[in-house]
Amino acid sequence: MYEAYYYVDEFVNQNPELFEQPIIKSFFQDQDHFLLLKKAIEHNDENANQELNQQFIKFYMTYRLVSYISVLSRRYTNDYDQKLKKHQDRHVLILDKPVSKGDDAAIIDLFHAEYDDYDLHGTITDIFSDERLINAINELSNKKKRILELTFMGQLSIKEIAEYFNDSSQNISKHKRDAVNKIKSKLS
Amino acid sequence: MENFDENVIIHETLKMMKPKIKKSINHTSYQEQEDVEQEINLKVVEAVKSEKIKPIDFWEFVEKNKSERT
Repeated sequence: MYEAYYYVDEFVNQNPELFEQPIIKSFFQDQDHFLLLKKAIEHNDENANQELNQQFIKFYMTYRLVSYISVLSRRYTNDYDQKLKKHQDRHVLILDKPVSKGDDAAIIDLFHAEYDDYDLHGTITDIFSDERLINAINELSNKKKRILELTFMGQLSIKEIAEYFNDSSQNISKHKRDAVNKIKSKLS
Repeated sequence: MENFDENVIIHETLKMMKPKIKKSINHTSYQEQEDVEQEINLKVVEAVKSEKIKPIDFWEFVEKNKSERT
């Protein structure tokens, strides 16, 4: 606990990954919280420590609930569907036109760049609170994880994901199947 | 953790997020909107009561963060 450290800077320096966590960063944006930490560590102030814990619990719960509510609300928004449809409508007539005069690349070739800009608002592990599920997903390869994100959060089809990766639909399908099976076996 | 009242946090957070929830669901029919809002409120309460989302204090978080790194 806090008795292990003499100075608050020592604590911060020895726990860099901790202070990279968004929730910790946000929590300590409030200087009062940081002062409590300092008091607890440098003066062994038990009252400050209790107050620090209380403040953190409230902050943590609010943070978790806000994330959860955001995800739940997002499931009901058809923002993703609308963005994708708008994207498709805008290009359907000019797909084969060159990007600019004399350019070899047609507008259809811009599709790859478009997908990179596709704002997924976070990663797939933000959706879940179940630790085992989060761990199972994090153990997948980056490609498999990305395929799951594009499927569930981006609402893309296998074909669209195949274009994104410049891969075949069969491969993408297999990756997705394997990913789901891996997760299933980890949870059973 | 005697001072922590989870019901207050649930209530306050739902209140705070109400505009965001409404904005996300305003494309659905009016009848559906009420149902969806109710469902979200219910899921939030369930998540806390079933301890899917459970409170931890600062030092517990520090410990947890450490153990997840090893």
